[in-house]
Amino acid sequence: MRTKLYEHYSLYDFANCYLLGDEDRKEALIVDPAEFNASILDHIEKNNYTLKAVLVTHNHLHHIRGLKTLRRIYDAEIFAANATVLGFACHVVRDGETFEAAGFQVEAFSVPGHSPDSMIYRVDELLFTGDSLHAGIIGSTLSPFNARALIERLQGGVLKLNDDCLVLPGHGPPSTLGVEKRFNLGFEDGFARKMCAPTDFFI
Amino acid sequence: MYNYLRCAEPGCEKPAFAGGDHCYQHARKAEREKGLALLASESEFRDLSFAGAVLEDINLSGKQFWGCSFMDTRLRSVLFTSCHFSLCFFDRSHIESCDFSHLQAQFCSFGAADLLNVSFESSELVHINFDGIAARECTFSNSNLYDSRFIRCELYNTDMEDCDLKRVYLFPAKEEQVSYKYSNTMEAIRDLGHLYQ
Repeated sequence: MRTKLYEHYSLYDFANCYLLGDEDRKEALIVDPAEFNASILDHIEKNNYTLKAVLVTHNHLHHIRGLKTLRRIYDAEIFAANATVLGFACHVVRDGETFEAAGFQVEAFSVPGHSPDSMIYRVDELLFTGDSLHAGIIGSTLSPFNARALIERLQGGVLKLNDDCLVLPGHGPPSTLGVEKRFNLGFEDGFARKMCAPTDFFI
Repeated sequence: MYNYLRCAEPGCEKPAFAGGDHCYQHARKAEREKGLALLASESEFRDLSFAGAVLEDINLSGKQFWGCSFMDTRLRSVLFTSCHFSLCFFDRSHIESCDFSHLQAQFCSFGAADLLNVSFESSELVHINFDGIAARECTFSNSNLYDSRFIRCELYNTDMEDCDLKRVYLFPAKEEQVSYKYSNTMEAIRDLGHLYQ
C-alpha cells in the first residue's frame, strides 16, 4: 500500500489535523478535523481521494470543528469513543479494538486522562495521539488522579510499541516514541503530583 | 510518508535505503552508492528513507524533502543550506559541522540528536521538535522557532540571538553559555506551572 500523510495546522486553537491517503485505492481518512477549509479540500481533490473515514481522538471542539463542513461534502464514517460527536452518529471504538477505516487497519488505545473519551489510534507505525501525548509533555488533566491514570495507560499501552513509531500529536511538533520514552516530562518520577489544577492551554 | 519499503534481509524490519532493496546497514556498496547518487542528483524527495546512513562532505543545498527519514544517521560536513523540510525526522542522529542555515522547515523532529558545530541560522523552524538534543557550538540565531520544543535538551555554547521564541517550550536540562540576546524569551514557555497549574 502506497500512502501519503498530510499535516494541516489549524489556526483555530493551533491544532494539528492529519490526512492519510491510500495512493492505490484513492481513499483517505482524516484525523481530528480541527477545521475543514479550502486547503484540506484541495489536497483531497487534487489527489483524487474519496474521504471515507474520520478518526476523532477526543471530543473537544477545536479538534472536531470542521466536522459539519466535512460531512456536507463527504459521507465519511466517524470513529470515536462517543456514540455521537457534534450530533453525528459514530462508530464507537473500544480499547484494544482493531478496525478498518478507509482501507487502513487501525488499532485503538483508550487513554482517559486529558478527557474521559481520549483515544490514540495506531496505523502501522503512525500514532495519532491527540492531546494525550505531545512532544515532550503529556496532555493536561483536571487532577493528579487523572494525570496518574493517563501516565499508567500510556505506559501500559502505546509506550510498549516500537521506538521508531511516529508520534503525531494534536498540538505541536511530531516526535518518535523512543524519544518520548526517554525525554517526555510526563514520565519523570513524581510528575503527576506536580499537576495540581486545570489549565486552559490545551482545552 | 511512512510507507517506506522494508529491508529485504530476512528478519530485518528497517526501512530500505533510498528506495532500494535493503536498509543502509544491509545494503551492498553498489546499492549505497546508487542511493547517494540519487541524493546528489535529484532536487525533490518524497517518502524516502535515508535512515542509518553515513553521509559526509555532500552538498545538498536547496533540495526539498517531504516525509523523509534521516533517523539514526551520521551526518558530517553536509550542506543543507536553503533546503526545505516538511515532516522529516532526524531523531537520534549524530550531526557534526553541518549547515542548515536559511532552512525552510516545518513539522520535523530532531529528537535526541547530537549536534556539534551545526548552524540553523536565519531559518524558518516552525513546529520543530528539538527535545532531548545535545547541542554544542551551535547557532539558531535570526531564526523563527515558533511552536518548537527544546525539552530536556542540553545546550552548550549555543546562540539563539534575535529569534522568534513565541510558543517555544524552553526546558533545557542543562544550559551553559547560551545567548538569547534580542530574542523574545518572555513569549517562550519556560515554566511548567504555566502548563499544569
